[in-house]
Amino acid sequence: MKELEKTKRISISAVLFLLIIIIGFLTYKKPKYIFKNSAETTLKEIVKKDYIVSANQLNSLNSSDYVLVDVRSVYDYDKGHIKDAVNIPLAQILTDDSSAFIDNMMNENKTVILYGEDPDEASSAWILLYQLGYENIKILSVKPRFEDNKLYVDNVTIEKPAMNFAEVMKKATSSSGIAKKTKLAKADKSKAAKKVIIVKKKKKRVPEGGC
Amino acid sequence: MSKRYKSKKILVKTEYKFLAVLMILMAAGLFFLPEKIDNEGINPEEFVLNILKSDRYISTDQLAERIIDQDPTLLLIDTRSEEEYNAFTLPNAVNVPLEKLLDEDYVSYIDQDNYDVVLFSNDNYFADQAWKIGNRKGFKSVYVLKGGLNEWFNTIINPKYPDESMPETAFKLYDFRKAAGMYFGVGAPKSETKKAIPKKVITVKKKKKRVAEGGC
Repeated sequence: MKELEKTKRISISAVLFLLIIIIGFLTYKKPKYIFKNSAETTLKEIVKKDYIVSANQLNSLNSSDYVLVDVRSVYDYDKGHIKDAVNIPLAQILTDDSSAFIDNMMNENKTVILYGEDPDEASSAWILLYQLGYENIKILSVKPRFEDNKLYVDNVTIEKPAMNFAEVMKKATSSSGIAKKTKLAKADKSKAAKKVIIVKKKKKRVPEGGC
Repeated sequence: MSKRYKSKKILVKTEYKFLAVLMILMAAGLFFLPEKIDNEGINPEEFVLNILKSDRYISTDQLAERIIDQDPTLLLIDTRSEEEYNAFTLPNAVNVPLEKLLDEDYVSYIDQDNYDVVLFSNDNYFADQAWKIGNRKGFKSVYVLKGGLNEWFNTIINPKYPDESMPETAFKLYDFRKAAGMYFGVGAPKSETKKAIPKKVITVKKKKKRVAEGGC
């Protein structure tokens, strides 16, 4: 009798043990998108800067070797885009359609060249895709803008200082000519500003009265 | 008696044998499990959401205000090269060149909770990339100076005088920027102009109080 109970207990625990393992396998979910390149390798790639393509370099490329991808919103894309560009908004890169498209391009050995509102936006998409393991991807250093309903694509030099900061600072701190001018300007503004303040006071008194 | 005992022993043994074999098989199965794939830091979906948000940007005016207030939680990081850093940088900024961002010596500047880290470069391109790498690693409270030093010089050091048609706020902003510029050493600061600006600030505060009174 005792032995029977013992074997029963053993078989019950064995069944439970198996069940737990089966449930574990069934509920195990593999993440859909995985970062294949670490932050460190991505940083190394960023510093190399050879993923940046200028408009001139683009013209010298064979158009069958690359595909342009516009990462701006659908609205901006519909307003106007570079010829033959495909629209994949940044927010929709991690969708089945987009990754299928990019996979296709990679299989065809085409370079995907990204551009956005500015190189920052394109670089966001680039960092994401590079970390996901796509390496044949570049960005176009341009800034599209609209004028009279026409799309203009300006070249941008990334991280170019607008001036020699140290020199400008030196001049600004030493030269008295600039200082005088600013002082004059300041007298004008302070008057203007004061006037406006008075107007505001009046406005505020009205709600006080209402209380 | 002894015979019975023996048969019982065998019975028990086979039961245990079955379980033991099962356990060994499962243990052996562990060797054939695929390598565990996991994302280091955050996962791609979260990363995209973070990139799309623009709350990582801090404007030059906000930064100037925090520097002038001597905010103790502010930590400025210059992501440009060493030469550029030596030529000019913002007050109390630490130089962490972009390529050395994840080096052991430097990463502790960015990966900590005590300070609000503000990254900057000439434009905001490098700073933004540094932010993205940091975000991937899960670093918190890191910000990017919008427009970088170019914007800093266009707004704080050399602000544009607003048009007459512009709203009052544009004039106020100009005054603030001029005052801030003086704090950072522009022109020969004279006491009278310096005094004028704090006065304005005080009047603004009074206004706010009045509104509260009215709301009684």
